[in-house]
Amino acid sequence: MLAAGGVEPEVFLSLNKVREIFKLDVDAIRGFFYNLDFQNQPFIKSEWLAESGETSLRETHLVAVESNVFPVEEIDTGRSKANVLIATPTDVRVNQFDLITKRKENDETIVRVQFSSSGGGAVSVKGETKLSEAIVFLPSTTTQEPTLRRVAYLKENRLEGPLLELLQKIDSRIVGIEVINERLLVDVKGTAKLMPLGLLGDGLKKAMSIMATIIGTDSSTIVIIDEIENGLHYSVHKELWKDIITIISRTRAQVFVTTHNIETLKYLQEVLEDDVEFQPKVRCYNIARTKKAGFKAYKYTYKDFESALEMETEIRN
Amino acid sequence: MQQYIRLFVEGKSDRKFLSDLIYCEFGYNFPEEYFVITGGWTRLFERKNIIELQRVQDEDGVSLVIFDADKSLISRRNNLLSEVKENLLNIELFLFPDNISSGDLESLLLSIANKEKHEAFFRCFDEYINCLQVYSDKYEEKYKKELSLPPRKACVFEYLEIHNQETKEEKRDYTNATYWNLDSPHLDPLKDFLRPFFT
Repeated sequence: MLAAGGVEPEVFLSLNKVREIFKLDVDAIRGFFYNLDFQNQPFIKSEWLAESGETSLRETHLVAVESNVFPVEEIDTGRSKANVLIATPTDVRVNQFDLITKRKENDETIVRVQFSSSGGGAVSVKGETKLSEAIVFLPSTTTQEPTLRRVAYLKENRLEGPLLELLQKIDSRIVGIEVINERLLVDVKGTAKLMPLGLLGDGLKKAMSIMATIIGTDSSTIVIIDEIENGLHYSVHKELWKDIITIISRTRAQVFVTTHNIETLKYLQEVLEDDVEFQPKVRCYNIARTKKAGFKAYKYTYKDFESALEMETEIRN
Repeated sequence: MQQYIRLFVEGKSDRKFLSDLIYCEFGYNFPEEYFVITGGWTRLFERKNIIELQRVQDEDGVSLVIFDADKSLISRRNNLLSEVKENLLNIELFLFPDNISSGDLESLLLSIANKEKHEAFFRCFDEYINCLQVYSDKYEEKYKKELSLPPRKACVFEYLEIHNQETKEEKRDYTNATYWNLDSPHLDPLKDFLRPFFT
């Protein structure tokens, strides 16, 4: 999320909205720092794949700043050049936080995002930015507005085919999807009028939200799907996994999915087992807060993942 | 139990037996998800299990590894510990049946079976083993090593089946004193091994 926020600051704001934090003040900012302590500054290394096929290494830092001076003075911390007038956890003088993404090779700042904590929520961005759709965060509960926008885009570009196919697997009576007067309507066989999406089940809405996003991706897109299983009927899981992997294999987008559900993982494993070409395309990570090593991500390749499920090893704690 | 403990075993039969023993001896219901089933001793060092061992270290916890000694306790111990060292890991190792002798879980189970009450069954099974020994002696020399004698797994299975007890390895009830003596001195080495982590 932090690496994603390094190119698209809206991710931070939308993440807070999901947390039902709508103001951007000091307490809202604190949530991005481990243990709500400004001294625990997140630091992420990531590898980015350009359209040309070249990779570049990036380091993203999140630093809390206590100065009112804007922009703040850069200080060499030893690890990187960043503004590090750090506040203590109780120090409310913190009034700004900076998100700095640097190219590791030459320490050049690619993006610097400055979030004011005065409550105004002002965001200032310096450097390269991507399109606002570059990072898409799909929360565990779906909202209709972004889905409407994405379906309209698919319709306009005649890309809605795979979406319709998936919906038909969920409900075979569906024969079409329409966007009319800012409303998402579904053509259901045997009904006198087009039916508002809201009248159909949560599972259908969820599947539509995910698929409408995935189909519209390209290689610069990162999609983050939180708790994918929420609202989904068990019979849809396999089809959805299959469709997601098939589509992103083509668009080369990167998708992060979170789940606590063992059934969801088992369905994913079945899909990967059925198609060996899918296997190297998916990795499973167990993100854990450990006692000695702090937050740590444990990576499972397909083989590890399959073995863990076969042996009933708990990989979700 | 405050400490982060994971118990690495070869199969579901080991998990059920140790789970029953820990509950009876230490009054602790050690959750199933705290066991890591490897699927055999050679698989302890598969990446998936190394991840689990590493996780225990990150949690400042303890990895208890309880495997079969099989034919040679010394070579099994040496093999496991050298790989542990190579991977910069830490484990506490116990080999069935008693961390001294060669053997396996079934050797230990047969030593704690209620032989007083079921003497006739074991006499009968001993005769069966003797009979198989004769069969083995006459078996073509070059194929002899393929025979697995004595058939300890079959004996435990028969012991339970003939008395209409659950035979599935993951469902057996080792707390049933009619069939198993969890106070047997044969269990002392295993209990001594477990005690520091469960009391």
